Amino acid sequence: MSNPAMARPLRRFAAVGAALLAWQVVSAVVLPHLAPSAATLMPPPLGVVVAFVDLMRSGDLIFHILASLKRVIGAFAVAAIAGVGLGVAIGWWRRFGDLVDPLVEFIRPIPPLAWIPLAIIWFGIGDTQNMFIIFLGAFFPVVVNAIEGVRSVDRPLIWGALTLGGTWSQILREIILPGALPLILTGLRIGLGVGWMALVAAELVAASSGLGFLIEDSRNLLFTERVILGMVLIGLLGFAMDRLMRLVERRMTPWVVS
Amino acid sequence: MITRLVLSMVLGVALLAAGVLPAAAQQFTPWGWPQPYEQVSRKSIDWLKQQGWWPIQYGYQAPWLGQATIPLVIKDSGLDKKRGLDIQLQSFLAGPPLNEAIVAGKIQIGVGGNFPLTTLIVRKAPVHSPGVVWTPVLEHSILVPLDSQLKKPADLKGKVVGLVAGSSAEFAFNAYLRGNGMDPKDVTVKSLPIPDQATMPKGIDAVVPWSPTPSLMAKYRKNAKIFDDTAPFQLYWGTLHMRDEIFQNAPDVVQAVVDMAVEAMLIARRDIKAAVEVTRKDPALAGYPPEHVYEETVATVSAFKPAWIYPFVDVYAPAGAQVAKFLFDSGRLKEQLTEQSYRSWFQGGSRWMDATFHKLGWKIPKEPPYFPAGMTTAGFVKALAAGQRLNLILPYKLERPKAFPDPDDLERRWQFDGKWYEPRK
Repeated sequence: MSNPAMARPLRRFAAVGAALLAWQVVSAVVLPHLAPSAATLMPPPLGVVVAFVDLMRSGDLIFHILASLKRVIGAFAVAAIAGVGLGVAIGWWRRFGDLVDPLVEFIRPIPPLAWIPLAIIWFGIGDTQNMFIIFLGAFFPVVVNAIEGVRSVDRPLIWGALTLGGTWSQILREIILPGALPLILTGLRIGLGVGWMALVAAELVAASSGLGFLIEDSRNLLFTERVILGMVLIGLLGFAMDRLMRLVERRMTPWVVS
Repeated sequence: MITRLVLSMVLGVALLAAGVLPAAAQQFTPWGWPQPYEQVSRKSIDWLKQQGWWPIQYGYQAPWLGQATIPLVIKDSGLDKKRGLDIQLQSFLAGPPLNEAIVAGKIQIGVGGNFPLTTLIVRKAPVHSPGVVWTPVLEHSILVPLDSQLKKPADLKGKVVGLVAGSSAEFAFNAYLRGNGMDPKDVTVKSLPIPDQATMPKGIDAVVPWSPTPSLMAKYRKNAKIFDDTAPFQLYWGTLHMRDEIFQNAPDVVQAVVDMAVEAMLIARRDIKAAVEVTRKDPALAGYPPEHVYEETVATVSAFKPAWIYPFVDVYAPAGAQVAKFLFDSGRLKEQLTEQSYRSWFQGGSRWMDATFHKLGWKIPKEPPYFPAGMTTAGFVKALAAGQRLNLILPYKLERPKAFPDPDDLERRWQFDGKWYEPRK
């Protein structure tokens, strides 16, 4: 390869292409020959493409994607504001942290999915219940990283500011928050990813739209092409959101070396 | 063992001498199964082992009472071992995951309601039914919150209803709306799994679950009340199905599975309480009140005459085609199945069950036991095509189980629970 800059992406593309080709051959040629019924369980990539075209043509796919995005963006916005606020407060005020941190650490390991039955009882059926599950997924990574971000700020910087007559609000605004920002942004990125995963699980129950619903509904009818399509889209959208968050990170914290 | 054999021989001779027993009388177990047990051939067993299908994996749906009782009783009573078979049970919570397992060959015997089995037909899965039908006319009800102001069907207009999308409940609910002069579009439907429906969540005006959830909510949890019954607007049915390879290579295994299903039903009929105890051992049913499981098992196993298990192909094929049309019209299926598709689903029509009934000395039933007096198959099919209310007998509304057998149910004398029953002369 004469151009080293192009070599790496090409290698990656070749690997993905080879995997897709192998999948196509196994699903469309080998499996039907060995066990025709197994082809239902492992449709070829071209079958997934056909399902994609069908659902795009009918408008169903856009409908489900938008429904999922609407839920995740709304819930993530709430989780970001609440999580950063609480994280900074716990990290900044020791006494408050002593009170609240154990509660956060107690609730944090409970998977968002475990909340689904209660969420349905509390919020009923609808977007609020789904958004609550996404919120739980996104909230804790944001809180934990915000706490760590605040606590990781160099103490000598704070002492210096105090010595120079800085007020606590000035110190919070001009030293703590900028110092904690890289970790806060990392928390937001992780939170968005976890929230996205939780969204799909939340949509498997008590939803009549969204990519999670599409997967479950297709599963009921053994439309495995659509199940795989849903999974691929979740992966692609999750990947796109992560890239977007990394871009935001780089823009907001240019001093951080990746 | 030898003492008992000698005693029974002595008793038999004495009874023969007394003229009580006819010569060469058929022997039956206390629950009415003819003796001796037919054995599955060595060839079939070797073939199953060769396939890696030994023990045979039998998937059933635990929350589907009546249907679940049968395999659990088969295993508990050792009916498989008595025929030289070895069955291992696999419990599933619903049809779709069971479908995945049977298509993948992880289980070789499965069960499904009319919607999951339609999926198998559409996907051309290597699976067919030997003609064992499960719990026809199962309860499907509309439930509303206790403080609901809904009084009549028309009140559902503009309301939010939770049901399992693409299920028999949605199908029956749509038929119910049409039957009451409404359009399905008049109601907002939210897809909601049964466990979530059972909580009667906020933001929902009504839910449409199927048995055993309606009575669980209304009678035991008391968190909802039954608004109306959608069962009269459809003929719900499901089947036992098996991998095609077994039909082709081990037909005696197919016959044994059909025989076991009927024998387990007889064991359950004879001692329904014991059958319920066996059923309740399934972890998925641990949370149900014992008396609830009892009531549901009575309704699904012994309310009708045993002919409920018989494959009335001329009845089920048009009912199935109606389901397929619903799925096709709603864009959930790409191809529309025909009546013939469902006829073909019953591999060999009713021949396996006919053989079982003949073994028992039972007459082949002409009409299903849920047809009211005067209803014929032709009349039923006509009503079905016209989208009319079907007015079938609802097993869960019967005051007491139907007696069996009448003289007209038998072609030979039959013994059950120590009592001999004679056919009509």
